[in-house]
Amino acid sequence: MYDLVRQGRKFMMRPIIHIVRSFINFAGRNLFFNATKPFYFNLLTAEMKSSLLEEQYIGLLNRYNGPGKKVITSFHGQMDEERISVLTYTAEHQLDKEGARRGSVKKIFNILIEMLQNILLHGKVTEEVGNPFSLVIAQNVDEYELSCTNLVETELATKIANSLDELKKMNEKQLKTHYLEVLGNEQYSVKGGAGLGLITIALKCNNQFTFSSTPVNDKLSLFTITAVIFDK
Amino acid sequence: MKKLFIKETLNSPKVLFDPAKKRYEIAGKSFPENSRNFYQPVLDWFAELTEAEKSEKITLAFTFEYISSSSIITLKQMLAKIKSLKSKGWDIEVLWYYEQNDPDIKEIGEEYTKLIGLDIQMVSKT
Repeated sequence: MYDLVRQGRKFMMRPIIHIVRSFINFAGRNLFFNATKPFYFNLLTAEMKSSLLEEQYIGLLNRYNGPGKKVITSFHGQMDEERISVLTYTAEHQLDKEGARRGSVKKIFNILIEMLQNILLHGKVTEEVGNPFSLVIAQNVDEYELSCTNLVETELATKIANSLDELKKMNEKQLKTHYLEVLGNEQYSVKGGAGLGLITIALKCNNQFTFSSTPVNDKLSLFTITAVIFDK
Repeated sequence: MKKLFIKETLNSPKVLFDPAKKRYEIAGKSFPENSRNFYQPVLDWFAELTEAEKSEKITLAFTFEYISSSSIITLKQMLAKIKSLKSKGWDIEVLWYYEQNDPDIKEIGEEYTKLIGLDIQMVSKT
């Protein structure tokens, strides 16, 4: 019953967000996605903040309408360890069912684990909205796209973006050398796997990834990473 | 040597160390939330081996479907411990199983050999 009420409230919030966005677009600047400090964020309720992520999720899903495009697995909600198990299990079986090559399924699975564990370990958990994230795995003609978005502290988002920028400059051989250097020297930390996970993502998608960071207030950002896997 | 058994889950492998049957294996998917905590009983098992047990041959078989980066780091520590035990006289053989169409798992086993200097037997599953 509570969920129904919550869903209803979210449904009612969506038009309000659209009005806010329309106003901003009318002013000639899309502050929703590009502003360094959206002035209206602190005025929004927890449901509306959560809806910002949901809006992005729905926008992403809409990208896969059309010939040769299909959403394989998608999710929007709270992160926990069990969620990772269920989503990876579901994604693997859906990809097999869709006839994806075994090599592609393995790559997607590996990338998915690293992305989801990053969210579980490093995602910002707030009292108001928890640790929400969204995931879309979709087919785009002869390739698969895997996209994850979650809330992180802006300071960490900048750090991750810098690391990904560095990885982007490397070719496959350099990535592999870097991976072995990190594995050879890395001391295990309590949070585990820092660094190696991002390199694994870059390696498994042959460096075909993009990322973006969108500030939502003066401390938090929505971080999105998308990896592309060619089904060959 | 005591028996160690950890049941397989959706994100963690089966661990079976059964000295009575001379079976030592870790098999399945390995991406637990905290891989250090998950593998700690295995690390403890090796740490508790006694001098008297040096005569017991241990053939440890790894058969993984997927390994997360944090598990890869913890397994590296486990294999380094095994190398250290071997150099002190314990008789431990490591088998690393991989499917022929899975170059990634094979590569991880080969990387451990290079990084740790431990002799790991690569075994192709038919």
